[in-house]
Amino acid sequence: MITLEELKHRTDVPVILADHEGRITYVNGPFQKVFGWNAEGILGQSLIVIIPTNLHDAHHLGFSRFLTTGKPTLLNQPLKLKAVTKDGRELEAEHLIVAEFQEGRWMFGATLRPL
Amino acid sequence: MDVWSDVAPPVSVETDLSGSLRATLGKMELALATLVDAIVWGDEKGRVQWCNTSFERLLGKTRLQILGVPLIDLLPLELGGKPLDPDTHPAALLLRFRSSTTGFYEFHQGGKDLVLEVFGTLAPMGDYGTSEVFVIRDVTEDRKAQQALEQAYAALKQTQQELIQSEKQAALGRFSFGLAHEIKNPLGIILGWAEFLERRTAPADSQTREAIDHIKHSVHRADAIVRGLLQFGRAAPLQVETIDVKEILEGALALLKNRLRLASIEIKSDPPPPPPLEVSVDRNQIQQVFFNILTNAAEAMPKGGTLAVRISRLADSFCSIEITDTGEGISREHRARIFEPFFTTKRNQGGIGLGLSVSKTIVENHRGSLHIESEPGRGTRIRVVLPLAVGL
Repeated sequence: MITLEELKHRTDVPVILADHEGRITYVNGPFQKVFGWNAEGILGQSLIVIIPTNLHDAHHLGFSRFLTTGKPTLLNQPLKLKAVTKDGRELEAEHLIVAEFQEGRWMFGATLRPL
Repeated sequence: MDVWSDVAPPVSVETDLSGSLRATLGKMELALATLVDAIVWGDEKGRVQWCNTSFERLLGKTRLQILGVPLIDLLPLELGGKPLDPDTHPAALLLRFRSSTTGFYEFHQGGKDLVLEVFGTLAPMGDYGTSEVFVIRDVTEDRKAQQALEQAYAALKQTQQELIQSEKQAALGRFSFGLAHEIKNPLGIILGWAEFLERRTAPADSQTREAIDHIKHSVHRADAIVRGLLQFGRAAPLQVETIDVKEILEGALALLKNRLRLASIEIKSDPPPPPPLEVSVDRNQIQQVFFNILTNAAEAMPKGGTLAVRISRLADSFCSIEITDTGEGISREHRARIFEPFFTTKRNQGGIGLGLSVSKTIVENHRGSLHIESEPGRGTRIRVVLPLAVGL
């Protein structure tokens, strides 16, 4: 299984990392290029900014459940999902989301391969 | 750049959730996942924003296949076997009338054949718009149980009616038996004295002789009624013997042979294949039953016709004796009353209306049954079903 550290060094695919509160902690170059966000503008924001409005409830509840139980339902498998660009468009991408437990907290990472 | 130690810029309040709120949401999600009822909510355009595990199971789809799709497309419903058109789908009704809705619908998908109770309500969320929330319950089993209960209740009512009827019949039988006994003796006395008078009357006194004949004729008629009543209300134990049913039927036919011949009635008999179909019955009583049915058949064909008798094995443990005539048949109106004691359409020809009711009682006392099929103008078929003797 791919580690967050490995994800951080990928340059062939858009990559995004987030902390236990769902705050964005890292985006790579391809991510900025494909989705139009620059690092300064998006770091520290909630993951919600790249999630389509329609999926907000599902994200909040699903993310919260994972933090409560530690049992994944969507991790480690390719998912066809939409992500929101800086200018508000919704781009379909194959998401692969992973999580790591570091120093008592969950950290998240994902590749978003545009379709 | 070390991403983990970066100082994050201020977070937009709108998009962030506190840790305690997340914990609450996490527990809610867990709880909602355990429900049997399906829960789903959507945005103002009816597109699904969230659903629980039960809703996924209902549709046989994963959440990712469900989210963002209009509920109307996900959940095709039917009412009375007809698909709902999009305007009358509960999701459309809720958005149009903006008030809660409840309804029962059929759902056929993925091999499922369900009745669903769909409850929908609006949740106004201020700046976040209005959500439509649905709770969907599978009530298929409840419906089935309710239907079974209604059927059982109807059957119970029917049985109760039959019980009342058979109790009435039994009471009538007891009453008839007592009455017949009381009348039989005075009838014998009347007949005795009528014969005494007959002997004492001069052969030339034709007027008196005619009067005596009238008395005797009426006594004989009353006696026939009394005998019928005694049989109807008979409480005596059956004189059971094991015998080929064909032999009993032939006995009854022999008694009527001359009468049938005179009436130009042809007998068609279909002999049953061996082995003999043996029944354990009171021979005289069953012969009486065949005699009654054959007499009725003959009387239904005053201008002649064909009388077909057929014996056959029925399943493993029954035999059937069918007697079919080509006579006038029985009208629908008379059919309903045909087993009633004293019901007759032949009162003018001397009928007393006990033949069939007595026959039915006798057959049922032998754990058998008596069936009638008739078509006015074409004929009547009576079928007597009797249990075969044990061990065959």
